[in-house]
Amino acid sequence: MILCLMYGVRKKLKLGINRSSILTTSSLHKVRIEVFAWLTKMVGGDGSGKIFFDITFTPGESLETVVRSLSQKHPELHRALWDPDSGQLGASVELIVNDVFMGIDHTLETPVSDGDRITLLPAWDGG
Amino acid sequence: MTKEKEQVTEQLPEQLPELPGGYAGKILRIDLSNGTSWIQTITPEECRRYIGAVGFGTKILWDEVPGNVKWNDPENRLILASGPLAGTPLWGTGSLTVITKGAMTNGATVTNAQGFFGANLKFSGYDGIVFQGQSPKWVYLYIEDDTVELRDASHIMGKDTWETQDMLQAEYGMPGHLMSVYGIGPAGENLVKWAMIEGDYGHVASKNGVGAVMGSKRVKCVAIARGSKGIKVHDTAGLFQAADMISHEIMNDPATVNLYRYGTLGGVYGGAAMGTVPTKNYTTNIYPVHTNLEEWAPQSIRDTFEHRGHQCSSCGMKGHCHMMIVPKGEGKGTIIDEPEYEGLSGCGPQLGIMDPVKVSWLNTQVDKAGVDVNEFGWVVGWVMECYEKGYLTKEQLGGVEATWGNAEAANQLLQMIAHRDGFGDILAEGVRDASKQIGGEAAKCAIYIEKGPSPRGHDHRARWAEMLDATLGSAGTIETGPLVKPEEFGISPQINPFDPDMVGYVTAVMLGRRHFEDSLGTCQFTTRTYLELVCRALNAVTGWNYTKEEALDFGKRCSALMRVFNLRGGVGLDVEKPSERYWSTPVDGPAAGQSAKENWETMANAYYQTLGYDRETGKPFPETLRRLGLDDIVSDVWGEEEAKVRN
Repeated sequence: MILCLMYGVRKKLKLGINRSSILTTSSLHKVRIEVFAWLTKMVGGDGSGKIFFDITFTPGESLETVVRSLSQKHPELHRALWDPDSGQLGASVELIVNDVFMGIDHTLETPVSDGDRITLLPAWDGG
Repeated sequence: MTKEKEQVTEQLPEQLPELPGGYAGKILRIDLSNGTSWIQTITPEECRRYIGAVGFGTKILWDEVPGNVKWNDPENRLILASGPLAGTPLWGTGSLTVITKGAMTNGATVTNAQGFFGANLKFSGYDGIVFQGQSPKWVYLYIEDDTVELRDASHIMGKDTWETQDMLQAEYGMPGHLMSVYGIGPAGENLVKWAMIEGDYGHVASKNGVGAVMGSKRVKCVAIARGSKGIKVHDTAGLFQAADMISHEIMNDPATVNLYRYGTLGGVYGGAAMGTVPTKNYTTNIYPVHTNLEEWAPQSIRDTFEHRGHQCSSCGMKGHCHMMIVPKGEGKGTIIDEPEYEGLSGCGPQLGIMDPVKVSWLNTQVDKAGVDVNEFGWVVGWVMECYEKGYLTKEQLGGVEATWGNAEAANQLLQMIAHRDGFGDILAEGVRDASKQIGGEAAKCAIYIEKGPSPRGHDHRARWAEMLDATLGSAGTIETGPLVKPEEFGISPQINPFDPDMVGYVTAVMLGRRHFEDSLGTCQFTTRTYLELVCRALNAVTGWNYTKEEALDFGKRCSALMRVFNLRGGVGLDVEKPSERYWSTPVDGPAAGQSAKENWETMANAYYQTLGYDRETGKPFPETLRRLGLDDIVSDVWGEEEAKVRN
């Protein structure tokens, strides 16, 4: 369940606006999801900086469940995250948990832990 | 292919066969040793089999460049070609692909540049150009429709790549896109082993020292006017439909929408959070986020500079490829090329330079001098680390204070390298050979592949697939590249990047797409969508019925041919290995503790097994060659007896 999304701190940056949320409860079992760069456009931002979502969860819920609980409220983000045909995580967004790539400590099935920080990064290639 | 040696300005003796759409049917052959040129005609069947640049190029290498020919021997071939989609309304169809035996690996090379060259080539009535021999004096090739001449280059010698284009465009009165000039800067003239071919202000074929090959032939550049010949298309409406579908996908698919908006400009911004931006020569994976990471956000970079679009032939990808003006510091007020991600990383965090303005300025200096920006990063980053640790001294470096973050020092080293001055002469050989020459502790800091090709501009310790690809690939750089729509071939869109079996398997399965694209005359960014759609565009132009499966097999056939070409030339399994630093374990960041080295054999075995290559010899098995339609070389590769045994 999404606990809150408040743009309490509004730090003006040259490129746009960086938004941070302020937690309004002291609920346990929370994770923070960071939506990064152009993905912010899909959750009401301007395509730059980061937008944070603090999400409560029930112990035992998986990483996928928690991320889906956010994306289901933002259709564009949902489409970017999950392949419409297979339902699998698509190629356009990287998922990083506590600054560590998926595949090391976490898979989509791994239960999240209180205080986890989940980063949704748009995939970038070189050239 | 039939070779009819005659002057190109003369009428061809017989009617050319009816060709598929998209083809001129002519390859322009130039023998520099005696200054002759002739036309090599191609048949409809050859068009279908070899498609374009990579297909024809690898075939010519295999047929005409024996194993004992070195990259700088006159008998090496330098092939500049495009493909059947060049010059069509599809986005990004001015592509040039260079194929040769390259200087860094002394092996096969495929490297691709954008711009307008490929379209101009087709509008002039040629599918490709093949140089052989060595000119007795410095020349450039001038092409304007049927006028093909080797002209004296003495007045443009020593000029950088941008100056060269400026001068020739002014000389012929063909500004802007009326003429493309693709050639070498001082680095190529001085046979710097990682010199590149550059043109149209910022478009580079930069891998495996193709600029050194051009320099060894004493060709400064090719100046090609926008020709006046048309392109025949089989199904015009079908082509426009396919082009529209592809561009729609590029603009709207979440996987490419950022590419459409900003090109690869956001790579440092995103990669910093992923630990994939090489930082200070792999000594850390943590970008100093508390300094200025937001300045690297793509819109922030755009806002820092006055800029405007500088798109390639037929390209509507308005957010990619810009020119801009330096707003401050060194070069203030000058026009530079907006860097691609690899320019930002190679001239930026890899050298500890964190100011996007300095990085962008330095990137254009690299382009002008004419060297590969990846190798530039590995070479100069290595020097800076060695300087910090006392393995190299200021005296050795000719007085250069090679401290981290020092853009001016990096440029000083660049100029020394391009002119082979002082220590630059050692660095001009590339970081592998330079580090081995210095030896000791310094040698342990160098990032390279024993085979010689430069790793690309990411920290591959967090992208094992590209480390494997760059090391085992046969084209002088990565062959498979980042996965594009792998689900078309039954592969999950995201795999665990640290699962060695899966990394090896997927890298092998998806091998081939790039060689296919580089044979079409298109840009890999504007075809970064379903391969089926790309095939649809090809079929509309040619009238064929190419499938995506055939496309991958075509690319695998090119790759297999390059592999046996390399093996014939002595480039074998013994050099398929990353340097110790390259496959070291990250000490921090998102991939901390993950060891590519410990998983290497598993990855490599999966790659070899999936492709049907022999792990002992490196050769594609006879059945693999036959499956790919290379029956005619089985006995060359395996010998008559062995081929029979393995039949």
